[in-house]
Amino acid sequence: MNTEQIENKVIEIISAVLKTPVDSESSHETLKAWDSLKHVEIVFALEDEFDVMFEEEVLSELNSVKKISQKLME
Amino acid sequence: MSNLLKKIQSQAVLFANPPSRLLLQQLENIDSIFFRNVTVNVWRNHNFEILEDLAQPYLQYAGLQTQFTLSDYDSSLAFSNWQQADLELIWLDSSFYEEQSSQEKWLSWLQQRVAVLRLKTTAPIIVITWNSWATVQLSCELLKEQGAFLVDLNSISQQRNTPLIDQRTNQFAGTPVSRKIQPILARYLACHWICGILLPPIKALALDLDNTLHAGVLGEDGMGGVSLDNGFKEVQQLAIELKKQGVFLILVSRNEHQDVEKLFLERKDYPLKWNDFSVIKVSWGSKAEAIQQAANELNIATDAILFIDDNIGELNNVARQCPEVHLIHAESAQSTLTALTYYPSLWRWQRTRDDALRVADLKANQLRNELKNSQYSEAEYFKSLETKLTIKFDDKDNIIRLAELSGKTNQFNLSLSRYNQAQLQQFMQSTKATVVSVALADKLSDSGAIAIIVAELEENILVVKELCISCRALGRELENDIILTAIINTKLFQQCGQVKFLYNEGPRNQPAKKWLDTAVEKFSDTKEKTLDVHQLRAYLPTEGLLLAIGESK
Repeated sequence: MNTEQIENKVIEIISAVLKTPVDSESSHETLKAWDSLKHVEIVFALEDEFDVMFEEEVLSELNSVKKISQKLME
Repeated sequence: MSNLLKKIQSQAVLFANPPSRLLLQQLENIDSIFFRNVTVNVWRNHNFEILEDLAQPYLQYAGLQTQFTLSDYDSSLAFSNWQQADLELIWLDSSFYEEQSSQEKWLSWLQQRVAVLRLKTTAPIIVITWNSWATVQLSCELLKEQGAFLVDLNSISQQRNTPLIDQRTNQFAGTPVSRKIQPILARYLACHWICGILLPPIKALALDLDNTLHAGVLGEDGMGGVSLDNGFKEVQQLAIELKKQGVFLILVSRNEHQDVEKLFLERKDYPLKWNDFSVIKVSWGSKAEAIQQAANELNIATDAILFIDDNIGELNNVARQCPEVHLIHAESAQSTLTALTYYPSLWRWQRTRDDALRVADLKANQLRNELKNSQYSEAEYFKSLETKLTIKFDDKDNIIRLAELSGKTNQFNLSLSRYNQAQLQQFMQSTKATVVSVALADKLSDSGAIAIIVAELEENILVVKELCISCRALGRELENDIILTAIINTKLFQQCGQVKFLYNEGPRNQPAKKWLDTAVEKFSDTKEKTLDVHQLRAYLPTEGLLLAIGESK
């Protein structure tokens, strides 16, 4: 997957969990629905779909489309 | 898109193995004219919201609009701010207790907490937990004493070969339940544990044949050309398993009758046999009509039938003509297997001995009817069959079956009170009330417990608050013997001046109303759903009938 494909998939996942439109600039600050409970669901859905397991210390930092995409690119 | 197509498309997501969290979240809402609103109290000490979100698509598919009310995280189970709900759910992370207590102390504490909750409500209680200790004992005790049900998540984890606990999840999400098992548990929660208690059961499977029970088309491929490869054998085996649990099997196929009969008689590799089907409808006619006829023959409602067909056109026709019939699209044998495993209302918390008797009883009914139509008198008929009614009072050992009769009976159900185990237990313990069960057996079959009567003494009136007779006992003209003999033999009857029946009109309980109207005409002067005690005392049971009457309190 290239950067664009990863970002698009991240947007699709976050949008499905939050049931709201999401774009590449979206974050927990711009989206009201992205609360702590939904954050857990977003992270789990990302881990399921990308078949990854994020390190415990970064889980709370994955709070924007950009940060998540960057992390997945590493 | 039509609602049927939406439902059929959602099947691929709902019954995937394992279900995908993302696809579940993306499912469109399914509209239904049959939605029922239910409320569930969740008493928990770890995160439940994750499961709730994943369970909602299944609950919607089952026709339930479910409102969960979540408690704060409370390991003491104080049940603060309790409000009435249709179901009480205890969602407990037991690791907290395991660190601080012994097995015996924890079991005893948990039973006490369930007892406290039981004092507040008669709603069903489900405890969902796990521990490293044996839970069999816990399950039995909870079930018996409080009418509560226990789920041991360890057993699900083992069955599904998926880890239950992930400490990383615990830190981040507030529950140690692993990410991988969450969608699996959500499906069990909705389809088995909640629907298994809040929805009436599916009583019959209406099965298409070609590409549903075998691969290929009998009319084109011939008897040797159709096969059981790729999971069709397992579908047939699952159908047999369900039949053993009391689910009727109906064969609904567009084929030549003699070809299908020959297939089942000659293909020895087919697990399903011709006589496994309680009703066979093989013709070129409408499948909707065939299902309606089968429902009449089985004496069940069409909304208790699950129709399985690989042809969307057939499913569509049945949905149009009988929108209440449940449907599964048999897209492949594997998808049918998973759908049958998880279809809401097919799984039950408990199958009683009486469930298993149901299918055999229907076959015996056909023989009874032949005898009845012969030249025998009524007394000779009952005598020749050795028909026996066994009447028991406040029989706690049979409480599961009695609650099932109250919850499931639709036709001969006078008040539709729908008492659950906890409510029946209260009546059994009361000195002013009694719960009577009537079992029916003859030479041809043992029908088990077929009737429940709940009566309570209010001043000098014996009020019959619940009166249900299973449809398997109807048509034998034993209603007076079942009801009146049972009532007359209660101790409370000796203390009353009148017997009054509660009646609530429902969509299908005309048979019960008809019996009451006739009984009032015969045994009453008041004509107000009340029978006169003096006239009842003169009642004599049908000649030739054997009676075994227990001790009334």
